[in-house]
Amino acid sequence: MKNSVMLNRHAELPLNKDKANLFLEIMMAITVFLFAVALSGYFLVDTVVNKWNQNIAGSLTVQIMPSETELTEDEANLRLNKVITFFENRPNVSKVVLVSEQQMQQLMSPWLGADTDITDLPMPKLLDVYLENENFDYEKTAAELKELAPYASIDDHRIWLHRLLELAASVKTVAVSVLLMILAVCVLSIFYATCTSLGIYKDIIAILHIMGAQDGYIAKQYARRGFVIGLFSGVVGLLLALLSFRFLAYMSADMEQGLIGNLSLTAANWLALCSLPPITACISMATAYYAVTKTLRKIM
Amino acid sequence: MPINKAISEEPIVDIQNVSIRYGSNPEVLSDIKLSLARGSFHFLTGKSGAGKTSLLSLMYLALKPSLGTVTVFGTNVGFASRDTMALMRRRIGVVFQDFRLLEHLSAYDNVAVPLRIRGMDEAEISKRVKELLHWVELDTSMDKICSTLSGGEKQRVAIARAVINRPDMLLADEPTGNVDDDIAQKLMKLFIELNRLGTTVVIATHSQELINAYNYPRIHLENKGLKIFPALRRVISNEK
Repeated sequence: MKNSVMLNRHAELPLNKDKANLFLEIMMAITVFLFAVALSGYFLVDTVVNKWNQNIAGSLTVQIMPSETELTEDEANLRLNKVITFFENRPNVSKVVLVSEQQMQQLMSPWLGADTDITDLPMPKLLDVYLENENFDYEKTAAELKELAPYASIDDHRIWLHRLLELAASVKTVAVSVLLMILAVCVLSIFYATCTSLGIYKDIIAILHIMGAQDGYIAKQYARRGFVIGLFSGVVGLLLALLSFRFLAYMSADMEQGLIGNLSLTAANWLALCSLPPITACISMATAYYAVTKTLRKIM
Repeated sequence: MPINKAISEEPIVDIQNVSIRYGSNPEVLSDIKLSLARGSFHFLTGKSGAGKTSLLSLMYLALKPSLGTVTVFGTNVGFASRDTMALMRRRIGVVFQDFRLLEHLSAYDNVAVPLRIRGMDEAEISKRVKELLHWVELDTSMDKICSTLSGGEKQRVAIARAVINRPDMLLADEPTGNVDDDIAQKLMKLFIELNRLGTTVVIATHSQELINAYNYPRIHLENKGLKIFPALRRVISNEK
């Protein structure tokens, strides 16, 4: 990274030889890396929250416990159809779907293994009931169902799902706070590194002032350095973050998806991540420019 | 004596009742008054520590007085904004005794700095800088980094940098101190030619030889004050 800062060779301030460059490059690369990780975390939590929100609003699960006595196939079907018909005739229900044996097998595989045959096990039947809107009356439905078919119950997952959503919202708030703190660290580092550099080159700056240079002329040289360092460090930080994501994806490839499902970034998320280097460059440039103009007014 | 025809009534520098002190130290200059007409040429003399550099600093707007008013190009510097001061400084060429070159840059780039600050395009900069460096006999050294130049070469680079902008006022602190006689005469010719074209020139020097060789009035600093001595031949002719 030592010779990475390509600056105008005519620049009066020898900023390409500034020892602070390496510090700024390393610090900003780490900052962008952390920012990218935190931002991705935010995006993924957001995706999960959206999925869960859809689940809450869109469906509920009905569990039909197996009979304690042995039933014929017709009796079992009658028992099941009674509940299906009950829900199909409820207002605000769009569709009732029986969870298939195959899906049940998949659901149970984390506990029983993929090869276990569950057909002989006393497994409950599950119904996915899809709702048209949020006006479904859970309490009334549950009471009527209990009267009609005491062996069936609505799995009211709203309570624990709401708790998870609250947790997810907290995680998102923490992620945003982390992002803001990283941004503040980045801006403050550039600001103080620039101020230090102004002290180092005060003699050259005094000469430039005597020759008629306005503060903006000097600030532009620092802004140019800020942009180059920001862009370079942004690319390095982002590449490190992408490598980390690849590593995490590789490590989690064999893990079960369970509750959170298949997590991936959307095209908009990727666009936001890829825009980090130019955004970092612009922030770095603007901070350096501001630091120079503000400090020169104070010290000269 | 080359009396400039461009001398006008309004002074280019007007210093009224100015005192200068650094911190809580005693005053370096006390209650001085000085008006320099446009297109005038003066030597500035005085012992070391008499305040020559402070007076020059006042004139090139690097120093504000502790007391009194300084008016340059008709603007009271006490009320001028930073940007106005910067634009005023572009009209002033300064040669420092210690050159104050940008040591990491080439001779060419040092001379080009005032033009780049003005935002001139590189083709015009190249033309002007090469022409001037040729004139001060540095055309073979223009690409050398300043830290590798001799004292005399540095002095010529400093002078070229000061005059490249064709300034309205040129302030030079011992500008011929490090060069041989031939070059010194050539540099004086340059200052005289600039003066003929309208530039106000003030040259601080200890060299009585230089003062005697060129017939210009002299500002002499002594005992925190200043006296102005007219040009020698004029004094002689007045006495006659």
